[in-house]
Amino acid sequence: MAETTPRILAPHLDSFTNRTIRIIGKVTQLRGETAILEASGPITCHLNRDSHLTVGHAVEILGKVQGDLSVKVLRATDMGGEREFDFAAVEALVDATHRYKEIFYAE
Amino acid sequence: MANYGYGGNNGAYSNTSYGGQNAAQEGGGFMNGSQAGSQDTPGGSKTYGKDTLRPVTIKQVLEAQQPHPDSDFKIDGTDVTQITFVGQINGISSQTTNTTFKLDDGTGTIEVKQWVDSDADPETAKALPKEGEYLRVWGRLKAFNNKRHVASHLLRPIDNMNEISYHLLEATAVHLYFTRGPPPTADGVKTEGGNGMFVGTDGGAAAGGGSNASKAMKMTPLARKVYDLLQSAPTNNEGLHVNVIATQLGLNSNDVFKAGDELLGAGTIFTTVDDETWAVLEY
Repeated sequence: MAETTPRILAPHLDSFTNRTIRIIGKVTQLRGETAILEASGPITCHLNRDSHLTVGHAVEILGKVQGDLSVKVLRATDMGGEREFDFAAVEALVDATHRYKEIFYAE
Repeated sequence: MANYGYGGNNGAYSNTSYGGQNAAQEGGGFMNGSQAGSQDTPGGSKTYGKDTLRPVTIKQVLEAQQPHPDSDFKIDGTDVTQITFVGQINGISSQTTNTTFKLDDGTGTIEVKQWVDSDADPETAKALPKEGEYLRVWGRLKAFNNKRHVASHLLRPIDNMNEISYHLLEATAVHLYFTRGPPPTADGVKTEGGNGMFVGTDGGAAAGGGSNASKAMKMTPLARKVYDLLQSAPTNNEGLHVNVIATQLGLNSNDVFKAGDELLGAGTIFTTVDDETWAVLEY
């Protein structure tokens, strides 16, 4: 299935270049066309016209990892303010995704 | 036609025997009476009394096994009837009789059909979910023309995004339960995961409790139950007799012997007064 989009964090970026992935992180900076996310490390995202990000909010980015380990955004979904969103649960989920990948994605 | 009848019988047979075992594995919530009852009346409600609602990922749904056409799907070797999952809407198509959503949870994509209730009052009808939103779905897996879809009983938009993390972790926990057996302790999921990385290393004996937990990982679910019973049973040095184990776990003694062989082979238990009495080997 080419349609799987594994959830990853910053440390996984270099093993997923040129793949479509999902990243859940906190928006720390917005600079016009790009945004910086915090997801166990900083990630630079190149936004598209439809992405509406809010600094301090959790966001799920569906995007493609570029050669320079930045992410080209295909779709951004707001996941709520940082106070109501549980980032520890996401870290656990990403850990489970790669530890038990048989139910999450194919290599 | 003959083929159809054969398949049906076969399905009913394997379901009943399997279901019985299953009930025992899960601690026996189901009465044998109802199992026998459903065997007597094939067709109709053959899954009645063992309906389950299982949290799954879409990848698991796409890879579910179907032993015969028309039979129930199996995931991790266990029958699934009802399933629940989450997914982001990738496409919506509204027909007069149903609405089809294309849902993607990051592990795959599947179509979900929600039948339109023509009796519903249009005044109270809820707004249709929009593309990009996350949904929680409860439904039944169907195959039609070799294409799988989920017939949804109920779906609702997710408004607390933590539900996505929660659901996928729950699906993982259930997957591990069926493939590796119940966790050895209450906080087992964590312990097990941690030790999982060191299974191959030799340093096990150094870490008393830890080594036991990593040994437990390699057991079949049946062996795990026997092991847990032996460990928790308040006994003297003699341990427990096979028949006692069988009665307490509600298993037949053949299965207990099989589990015992496995545990004896692994060196986690030893025989005491005779070959059929076992105790946990502690060191």
